[in-house]
Amino acid sequence: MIKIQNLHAKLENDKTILHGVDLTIRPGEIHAVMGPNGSGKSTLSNVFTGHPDYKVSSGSIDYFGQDLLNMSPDERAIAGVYMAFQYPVSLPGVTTLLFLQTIINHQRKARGDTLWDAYEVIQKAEQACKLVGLPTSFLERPLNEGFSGGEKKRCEVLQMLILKPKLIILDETDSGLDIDALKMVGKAVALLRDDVRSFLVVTHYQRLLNHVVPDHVHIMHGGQLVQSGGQDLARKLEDQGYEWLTK
Amino acid sequence: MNRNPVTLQTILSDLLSEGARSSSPQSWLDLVKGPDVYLDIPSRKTPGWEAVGVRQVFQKERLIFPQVDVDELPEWVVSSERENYALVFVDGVFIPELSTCLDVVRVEQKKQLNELTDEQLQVWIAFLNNLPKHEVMARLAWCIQQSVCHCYVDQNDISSDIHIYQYSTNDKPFFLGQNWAFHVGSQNRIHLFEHGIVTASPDNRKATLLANRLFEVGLGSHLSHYVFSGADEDVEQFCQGHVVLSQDAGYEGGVFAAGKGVFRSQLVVSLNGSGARAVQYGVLAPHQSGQMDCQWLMDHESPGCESQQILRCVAADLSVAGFCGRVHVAKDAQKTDAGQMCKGLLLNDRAKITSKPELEIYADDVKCAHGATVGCLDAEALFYLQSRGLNEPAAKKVLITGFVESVIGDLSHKNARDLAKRVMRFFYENLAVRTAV
Repeated sequence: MIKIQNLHAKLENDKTILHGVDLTIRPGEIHAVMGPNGSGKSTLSNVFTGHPDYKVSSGSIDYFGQDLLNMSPDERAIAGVYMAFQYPVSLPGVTTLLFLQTIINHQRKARGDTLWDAYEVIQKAEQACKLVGLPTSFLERPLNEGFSGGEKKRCEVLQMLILKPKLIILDETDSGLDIDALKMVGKAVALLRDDVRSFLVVTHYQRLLNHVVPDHVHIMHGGQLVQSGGQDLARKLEDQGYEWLTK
Repeated sequence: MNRNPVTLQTILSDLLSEGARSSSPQSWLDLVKGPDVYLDIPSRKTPGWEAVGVRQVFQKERLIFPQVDVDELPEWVVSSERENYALVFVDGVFIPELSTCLDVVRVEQKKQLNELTDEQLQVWIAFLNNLPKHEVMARLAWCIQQSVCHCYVDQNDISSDIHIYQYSTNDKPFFLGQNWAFHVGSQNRIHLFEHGIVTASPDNRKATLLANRLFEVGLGSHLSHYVFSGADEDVEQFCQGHVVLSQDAGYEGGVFAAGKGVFRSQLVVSLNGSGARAVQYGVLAPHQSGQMDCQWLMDHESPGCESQQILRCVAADLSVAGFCGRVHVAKDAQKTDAGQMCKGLLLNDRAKITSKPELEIYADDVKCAHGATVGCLDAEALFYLQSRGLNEPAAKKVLITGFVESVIGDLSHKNARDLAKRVMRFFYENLAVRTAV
């Protein structure tokens, strides 16, 4: 179980973004966090992964009995935390395949699993390419270098499919995606969904939630989760926008 | 022969006062000094010497003119592992008995200057006259050499990889001066791989190598020449080169150096025949107090030629890397297509990279591009990799690998790519060890 308690976080310039977030995510659950621009959704995602620009001033995140905030970003990844980035960086000179081989085997080595040889990595990567709708020729290209916005998002989902993490954070993965790509994300989540894996889906719009059906929907506003509910809450936001929150 | 350790400063003083050895067919001093030459110890203020400081190198006492007994070569030299096609030098002397490519390359070794033919001598006069006027190391290489080698590749339609190995049998710090000229006839393809100096024990590897390389590439021929150097502390390597390309000739060069020593590549490529193409690659990766630089000139003398200079510098700790690249396009060299790009990566705020791209264009119908960047590791890219499970050293290694891969991956020869990666591994291993400490 993942338990966030009274989480306060600020940027390096001391601007506080999160003002006491409480959230419990049980294994197998999908939680959607929605909210207007600047409400703190992406900050929550970044705090989860340990981005150095965000400082936690108080509160805690209990991650299956471990103090997540005391772990380095790589330790969190090894423990199964994965974020599909809103703006994935490009890595010039590092082919997607080499990148995949490196991260897969780093994680496997750290967990004491047997390493995958190049053939195994290629096989898994090619299968994942088919699932996310990327040509296998992308594996030979430097990661995200010259990729379109949609291709970068597909590449994030591709990594998620291969790494099979324990907690998946989709940070506005739907932004810039066409209908077919949204369906692809839904298909990937469905493939990975089981009793132990959890999802935190951060989004502005309800449309992604047609494909990734959440168990819980939360509204973030002013750095706090101000309301929680089910799919109906997402539909209400789609109909009425966020203005009613401030009234 | 002087069997006592000497300094380069002493050699320089002797050269200026006595005109060096008297066996030359003309005044040695005239030959080495030439017109408008500054024979002085370079300082950081000397043009072209901003990145590499050599005052300390001039004070080091080292053995000179080691006397190798070719009939009693040490067993470790004889039995060392080598590639199939090899040119072998021991203490600067060419050893035909250990060389295995003499069916492809004809080697003439001259131990006295007056043994050189007029033609061979003219080649060196042209080389020395083409050097920048402050290039004192190339001139000193003439004063401490054991022999001059002229290598001829004159069979048609051959394509060979030739590895050049150098061994030193000295157990004390030493100077090594070398002067080679490669004459590649028409319609040949030859790939030269120049490996670093090997000694009996790595502990003995305290050396200063002054090397002059001259290449004449004939009509329609192609030459590749790659230099690999893992420069340790107390190792200095100064490589001066001049490549002369005939009509439709091609050249691919590569310089790959990593370590905490001193490394300098000074190169002039003369594109003398129309349709000639040249590309010079390089990766400099100094760490600790290492100092490395490249001084490259692409000299376009004929129309319709292409050239590229592509360098990556990665500097760690207190090290310094430098690049001065120049493209000179003569008035008659119309339709020239040239480019140069130097990218630098600083691994901390104490390392230093200087970059000086220069274009000197006298023709009016040319395409020339140049660029230079210096920056640090991208913090977002570093975090991205860490968020995928890589610890900080591993993430840095991936980013540095990617940074240099855009040069190494472009090398046309697989062996060259593999050997360049080996040099970079040397750099990573040193970084990793010190990070762990």
